[in-house]
Amino acid sequence: MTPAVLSAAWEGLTLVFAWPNILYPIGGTLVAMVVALLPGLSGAALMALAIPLTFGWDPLHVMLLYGALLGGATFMGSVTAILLNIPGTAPNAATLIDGYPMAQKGLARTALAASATASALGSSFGVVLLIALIPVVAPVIPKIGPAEYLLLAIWGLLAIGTIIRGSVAKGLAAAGLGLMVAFIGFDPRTADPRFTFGTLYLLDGLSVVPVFLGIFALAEVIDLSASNRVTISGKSRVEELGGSTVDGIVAVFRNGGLFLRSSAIGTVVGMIPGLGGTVAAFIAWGEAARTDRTATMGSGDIRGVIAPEAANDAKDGGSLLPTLALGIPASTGTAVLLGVMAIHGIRPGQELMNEGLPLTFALIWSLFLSNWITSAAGLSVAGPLCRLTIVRTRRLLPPIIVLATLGALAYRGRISDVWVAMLFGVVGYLMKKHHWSRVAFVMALVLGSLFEQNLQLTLDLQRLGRMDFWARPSVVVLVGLIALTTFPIWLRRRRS
Amino acid sequence: MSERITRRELLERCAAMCGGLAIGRGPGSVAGVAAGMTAGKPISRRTDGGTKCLEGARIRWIVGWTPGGGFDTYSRLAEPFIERALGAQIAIDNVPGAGGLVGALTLSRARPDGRTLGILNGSGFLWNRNPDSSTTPDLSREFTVLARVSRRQQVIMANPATGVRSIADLIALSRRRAIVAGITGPDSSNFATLAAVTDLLGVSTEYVAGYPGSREVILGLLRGDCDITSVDIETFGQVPDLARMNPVLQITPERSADPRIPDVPHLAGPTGLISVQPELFAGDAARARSLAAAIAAYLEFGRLFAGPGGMEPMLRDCLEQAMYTALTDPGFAEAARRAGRSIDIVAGADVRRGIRAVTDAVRPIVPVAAAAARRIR
Repeated sequence: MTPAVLSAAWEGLTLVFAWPNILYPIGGTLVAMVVALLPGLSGAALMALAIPLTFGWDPLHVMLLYGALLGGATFMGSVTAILLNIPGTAPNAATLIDGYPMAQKGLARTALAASATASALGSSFGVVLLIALIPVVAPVIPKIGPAEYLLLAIWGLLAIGTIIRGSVAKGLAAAGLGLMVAFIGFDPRTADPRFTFGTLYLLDGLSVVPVFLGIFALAEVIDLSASNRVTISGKSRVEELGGSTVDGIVAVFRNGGLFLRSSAIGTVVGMIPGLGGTVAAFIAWGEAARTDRTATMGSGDIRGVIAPEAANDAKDGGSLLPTLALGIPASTGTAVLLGVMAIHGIRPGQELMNEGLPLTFALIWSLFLSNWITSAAGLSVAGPLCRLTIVRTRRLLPPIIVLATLGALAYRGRISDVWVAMLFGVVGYLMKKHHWSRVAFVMALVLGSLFEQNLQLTLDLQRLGRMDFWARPSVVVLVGLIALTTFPIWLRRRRS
Repeated sequence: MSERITRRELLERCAAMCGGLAIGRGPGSVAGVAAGMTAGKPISRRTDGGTKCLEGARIRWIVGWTPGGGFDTYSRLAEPFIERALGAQIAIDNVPGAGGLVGALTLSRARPDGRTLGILNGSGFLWNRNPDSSTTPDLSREFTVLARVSRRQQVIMANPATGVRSIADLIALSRRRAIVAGITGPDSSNFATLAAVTDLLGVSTEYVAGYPGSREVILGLLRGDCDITSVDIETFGQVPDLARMNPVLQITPERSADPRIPDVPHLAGPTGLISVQPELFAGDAARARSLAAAIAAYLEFGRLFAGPGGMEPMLRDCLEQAMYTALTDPGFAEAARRAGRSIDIVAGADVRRGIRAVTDAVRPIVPVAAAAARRIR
């Protein structure tokens, strides 16, 4: 890190805390937190809605507001994921796999605290790595191509093998079903429609948000209605609930290795354009499951909360690197940020990385600040919020249905998304009842299109002689990584 | 409602517009169609101030792409000015999917009461009106075009590692091996122009298709995935690596004044490469000129503000006037300039009048692009 970078970082920090600048990140964070509590409404949607407000603003204030909006929504989505099995945003679907079972065990407070801590520390990890790596990594990012994307998708898909419990055939069938759903819509190469049944809705494929809302939230509603469970946690008094906020905070430090690994995954995936938080969260969760020797992942293991939350928040810092240095958005949120920057005449690239570096740092610090504000808010309300798990299900189910339905509708304003959520609610319930892995299904769904698109591009490039797959150092590194993380598990299972 | 245009101007504009229809496929006629749509002030400009037909209403503005992209940016830049002109409230609704098709179909199926409007890729519709396509709506029947906000201007960019700095270099390279072009998919406007230009040059081309967006194609070009691609001039501001690519040919009827592509020849028109260096182009000269003019005309439609088809004439005229008032507001021009977005406004009546002629003019591209698309499939 050069003195110029450090000086710009300091200048950026003083800009953020100067009066009245500080109002922008704080105000932005508070708005983002409230919006993120409504499932389906993502930070990116809020960022787009805020664009007309910023006309005539100083570019510094725009950057401060958008840094806050980018970071403010990330953690809050995990609150509904843990408490109600409703993913606030798509990446939080990975958090609920273990977060909600923890709430069912009466450990919601611990899960929320772990999520908030991992979220704040993960974002800090991402930001620090971003600052440290700006000069080193920026030239490398454009060299990452379809072959590397393909291997990342394969790495994530291979994790499915490690999370299947019980019948392997059912697990693989669930993953196959997820892949089939991922392939709905236009063929990425030929632009021919597939499995659309002539409907407009399916032309661009099924969106993951209504599917997640259905397969987790609405399926849980059906399951709770069919079961004789009185409350989500099975307890009726606060005193009966286990866990504590301190337990959740300590758990992150106790699983420091997992936290660092997940944050690194999040930052790296964030840096790679087009992957986004959902892929980061699921790959991190898959990696945690792969190294799980206790076979408790997926059934309320706190590591299953720490890993996706750390990755999802660390990815924000990473995603700013290609966005600001190269003008390549790494996620929907950063795509909107680029659009806003363009509207205000702020050009990404060398200028922003040199003369404009204090402005860049103002954005980064605003993101950093918003992540800490949301996490602090999360920690402070973990206690009161966990009371939701002792509310009688007959009172809780109607609001869950309303919230999930509204979330599906708010996502894109299409009533069809509500029907899809309901359909997948039934599918999810049947999968749960008959022990088909819903996690395998959603992981295949998330990674399927990434796999297909880059498999086709890689094959084309290899066929046309534009790429020598095995001559790429990054390919060798990734294949080695896949072998290193997969082979020992295979060996261990074979021995046992 | 009054029209500020002399009879002579009207006749001149009409003659230019109707050239393509009257004379057939002659290159001059196609250029005439384009010129008719873009020349001078719009013929349907009105001055009675009748823009408040939807005062107090809430308008759903459909953008068929995700937030942050070019179409979304144009919409959000124009939003406050249209709101002011109409006295209505606009809610931008991003309905992404299938390269804008989902949003376009949503717009075309809405009630034509003015409460659902949006932005379209006009050029994309011209290409998609081919015999293979059954889902693409018809621009003239299923939409009411209210204004053109900007035309598409593309540049063929070459991978610097190929050493290609000019069209002659590209042709020379193609004699040694097939040229590899990078595209998002065979349904994109950039693919149509690339297919037509490489056909014009007699350059054997293979396609790497399936990149998720135009920025990813540019990255692919810089990485060496492909030799050439087609880049929209107005995205230059979002491409920090522009200087690392070699601009080879402007796909425009006249040379762009953009200082970032100085001395780069343009394709069509009397001063275009097709007229100045016809020996570079393959096959029959008349066909080459016709195809070159078709490519230029194809990009003319650019980005359109529109509503569903079948709108009442009174409402249409009012909305058109409001669009014109909003888009010619100096504040909008300044906002677009700051955002690095070019504007080239044409009133809806002019665009509507030109649709059939331009569609006819563009027809030579359809079999060429369809053949190239079949090779990808």
